Amino acid sequence: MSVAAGFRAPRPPSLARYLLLGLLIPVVLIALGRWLDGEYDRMRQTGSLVEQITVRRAHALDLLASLRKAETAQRGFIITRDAGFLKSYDPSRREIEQDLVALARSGAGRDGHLRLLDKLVMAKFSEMDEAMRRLRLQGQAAAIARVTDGEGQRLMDRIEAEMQAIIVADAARVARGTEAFWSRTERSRRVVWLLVTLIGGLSLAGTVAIWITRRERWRVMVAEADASARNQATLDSTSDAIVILNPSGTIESVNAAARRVLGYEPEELSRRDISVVLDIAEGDGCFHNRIGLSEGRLQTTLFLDRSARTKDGRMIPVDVALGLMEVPDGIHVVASIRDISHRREIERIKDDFIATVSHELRTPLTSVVGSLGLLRGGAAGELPQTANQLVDIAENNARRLIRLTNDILDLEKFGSGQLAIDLAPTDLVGILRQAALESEVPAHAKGIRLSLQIAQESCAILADRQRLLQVAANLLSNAVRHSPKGSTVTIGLTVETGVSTVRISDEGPGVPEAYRAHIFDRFVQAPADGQAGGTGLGLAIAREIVLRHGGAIWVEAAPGGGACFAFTLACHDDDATLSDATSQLVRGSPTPPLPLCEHSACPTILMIDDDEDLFKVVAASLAGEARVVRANGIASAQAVLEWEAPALVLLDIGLPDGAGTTLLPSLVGRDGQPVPTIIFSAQDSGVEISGPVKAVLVKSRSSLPMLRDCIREILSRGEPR
Amino acid sequence: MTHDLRILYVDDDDDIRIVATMALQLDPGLEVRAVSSGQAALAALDQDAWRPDVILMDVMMPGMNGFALHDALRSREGLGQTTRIFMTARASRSGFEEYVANGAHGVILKPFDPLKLASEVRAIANRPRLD
Repeated sequence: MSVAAGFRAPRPPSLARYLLLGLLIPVVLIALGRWLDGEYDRMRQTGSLVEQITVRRAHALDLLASLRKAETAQRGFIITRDAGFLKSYDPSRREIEQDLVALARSGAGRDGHLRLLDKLVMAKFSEMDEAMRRLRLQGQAAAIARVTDGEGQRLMDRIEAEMQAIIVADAARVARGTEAFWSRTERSRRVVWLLVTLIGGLSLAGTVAIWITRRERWRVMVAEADASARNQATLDSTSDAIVILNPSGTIESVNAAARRVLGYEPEELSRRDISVVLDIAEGDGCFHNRIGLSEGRLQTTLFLDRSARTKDGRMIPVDVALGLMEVPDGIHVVASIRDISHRREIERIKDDFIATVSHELRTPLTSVVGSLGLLRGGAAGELPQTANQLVDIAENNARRLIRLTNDILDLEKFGSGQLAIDLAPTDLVGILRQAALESEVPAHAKGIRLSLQIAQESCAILADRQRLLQVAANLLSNAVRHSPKGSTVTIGLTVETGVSTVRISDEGPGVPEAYRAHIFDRFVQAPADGQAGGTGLGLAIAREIVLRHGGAIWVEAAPGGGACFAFTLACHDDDATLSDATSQLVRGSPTPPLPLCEHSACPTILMIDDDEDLFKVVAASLAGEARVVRANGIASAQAVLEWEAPALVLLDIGLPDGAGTTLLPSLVGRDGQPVPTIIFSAQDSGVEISGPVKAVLVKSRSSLPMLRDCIREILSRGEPR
Repeated sequence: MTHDLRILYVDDDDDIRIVATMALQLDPGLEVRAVSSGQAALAALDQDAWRPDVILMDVMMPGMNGFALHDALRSREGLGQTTRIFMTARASRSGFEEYVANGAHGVILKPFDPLKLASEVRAIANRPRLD
C-alpha cells in the first residue's frame, strides 16, 4: 500500500517580509523626524531674523538720536561759543561708531545701505567738524554761514532716508520671513496631523490584524482540538491496539486499547522498539527495509496469526494490519494489532463441536449401518424381498448420513487449514484402478459398466494417495448416480508433456450450462442431484484437494451429452523429474504464494481468453492472492482496460475477434508503461520473450502450477509497470 | 467348534457392542468376549486365565478411555504379543497416525462394514510386525 493522503505542510510565515515591514516604519519615521527637525531649524532662523532686525532698528534709531544729539551740541557751541555744549559731542560720536559696528554685525546694509550710511555719517561729522573749525579760525559768522548753507541739513536728510531704506528693507525681510514661517507652520501642522491620522490608522489596522490573526489561531486551535478529540475518540473506541511507529521502528504513541490488549500503560511503551511487543520486522538493517517498505509502498499490509508479548510475558495470537502515515519527519507506520484469542477460542470450540457432533452422529449410525448390514448379510436368516428392499433403502440413507458427516468434517478441516496434504511419489493409474474397483459394487447394482480407457502402464505423480482416491471415488460415485441404467461410465487418462488429465464421463443428463460455474461450490447441486443421494459437498472437497495438488478441476460436456468431470495433475514421466520434484518438495516450494490480500487490495490480473472454464480455474487457483478479471476478446479487453489497471495480463492468441498479439502495443498501464504480459495460448504463437512479454506458455503443455508460479514470480518481482 | 483367534472387545455403547459382536461371530473361527468398560476388561483379565490374541477397543469411553486402557494393557505381563486395535468414530483417515504412534497395531473406523469387520481384524492380527 502506498502513503494515503499526501501530506502538504502549510508554508511558515516569511521572516524577511516581516523584517522589511518592520524596517520600513522606522525608516519613514526617521525621515519624517529629520524633515520636522529641518522645519524647526528654519522656524528658529525666522525667529532670530526678527530678533536681529528689531535690534538693528533700535541701533538705527539710537544712531539717529546720537547724530541729532551731536548736531544739537555743535549748533549750540557755534551759536553760544560755549564749549559746554560740546560735552556730549564726542560720546555721541563714539556711540554712533558703536551703533555702526553693531549695525554692520547684524548684517544690515548687505545691499550697500550701510556703507553709504557710514559715508554719510562720516560726511556729516566732517561737515560739523568743518563748521567748528571755521568758528575757531574764521569766527562765528563763517561758522554760522557754513551751518546755514544747508549742506548739513541735506546730509541729515540723506542719512534719515538711508535709515528709512534700511528699515523698509528689514520690514520687507521680516514680512517675507513671517510669511514663510506661517506657511511652514501650516504645512508642519498638516503633516503632523496626517502623521497622527496615519499612525492612528496603522495602529487600528494593526490591532484589527492582530485580532484577526488571534481569531484565526483560535479557530485553528479549536478545529485542531476538535479533530484531535475525534481522532483520539476513534482511536480509543476501537478494540484493536493501534501503535504508531516512527521511521526507526520506535513506538511514538499508542491508543487506549493497547492497555487492554498488551497490558502496558501508554507511557510505558513510548520511545520503545516495536520488538518489545511484536515481531513484525525481524532481521538487520533499517526498520523500513525490515518491514518491507520501499518507494512509499508496503509489500505486505497484513500479518496474520502473529504473536504479541503482553506486559506479563504472555504470548497472545494477533492479526496485525499496517498502514502508512507521511508526516514531516518521515513515513510513520501505523500498526493495528487485533487480539484474536477470542476468535481462536471460538474456532477451537467450533472444531470441538464439529468433532463431537460428527462423533456423536457416527456412533448411533454405526449401530444402524451395522445392524442393517447384518440383516442384509443374512445374520437373521433369509429376508423376504420387500424387507430386503427396505433394508437397502435404510442402509443407503444411513450411509449417506455418514458421508455427509465425513464431508462436513473434511471441509471444516480444509477451511481451517488443518488438513495436511501428504505428498509422496505415487502412481495415478493405480489410484484410478482402485477407485474403479471400489465403485464396482454400486455400479453393478445399477447395471452400469465402468470402462477404463487408460493406455499407460503407470503415471508417476507426487500426491496424497488417499486424498486423490477420495477425488476419483467421488467423481465416479457422482457419475454412477447420474447415469441411466445400463449405460457406461468412462475413466480416461491422457498424459501430455508433464500434465496428466483425468476425465470421468457419463451418459447421464449432463450438467446444465447454468450450474457449471457453481457446481464446485458447497451445497450446490444440479436439479436432479438432490434425489440422487449426493451431499452437495463432494465436489467442493474434490476441488480443494485438486487445487492443493496444484492442479485444476472443471466440468465439461461429454461427447455423448453427459457430464465430463476432468482434473489435471503435474505428471513426472520419468524417475528423474519425480525425484527432482520430491527434493523440491523437501526444500519447499520454489515460488512461495503471494501474500494474502483483501479483495480490493489484490493485484489485478486481466485474462484475455474466450475459454470461460479456464478463466474460472485460473481465478480459483489465485483466490486470495490476486483478482482475476476476464475479457473474452480484443474489443472487450480494450473496454476493460478503460477502467481496470491490471498488474499483469494473461493473453490468449486465438481470440474470436482476432489475434491476441495485435493487442500487445495497447497493453499499457495508466502510467504509460507496458503491462507485464504472459502469452497463454493453445497454439505456438511464435511470440518471443521480450519487452512486456515476460513468459510464453502453451496451454496443453503448461500445467496450472507452472502458470501460477510464473504469475507469482512476476507479481512478487514487482515489475515496473 | 475350534477357534483360532480370541478377541476381547471393549465398547461402552451397548448397541454397537451387540452389532460388532454379531459381525465378528460371522467368522466361525473367532472367539469373542465383549465387555462394556476398560475396568471390566482388566477385571476379566485378572479373574481368568483366558488370554485374548486381539484386544479391540473403543477410544471414547467414560471412566477409562481407550488410550488409558491401552497403556494399562501394555504394562501387563503376558499381553506383549496381543494385537491392540482401536475402533473409533472420531478420526478420519489422517488421524490414524496418532493412534499408531500410541502403540496401536491398527485402527478400524466406525461405522464399520459388519460383513467385513472380522476379515479386517484378521488382517491386522496377521500383519507381520516388529514388536
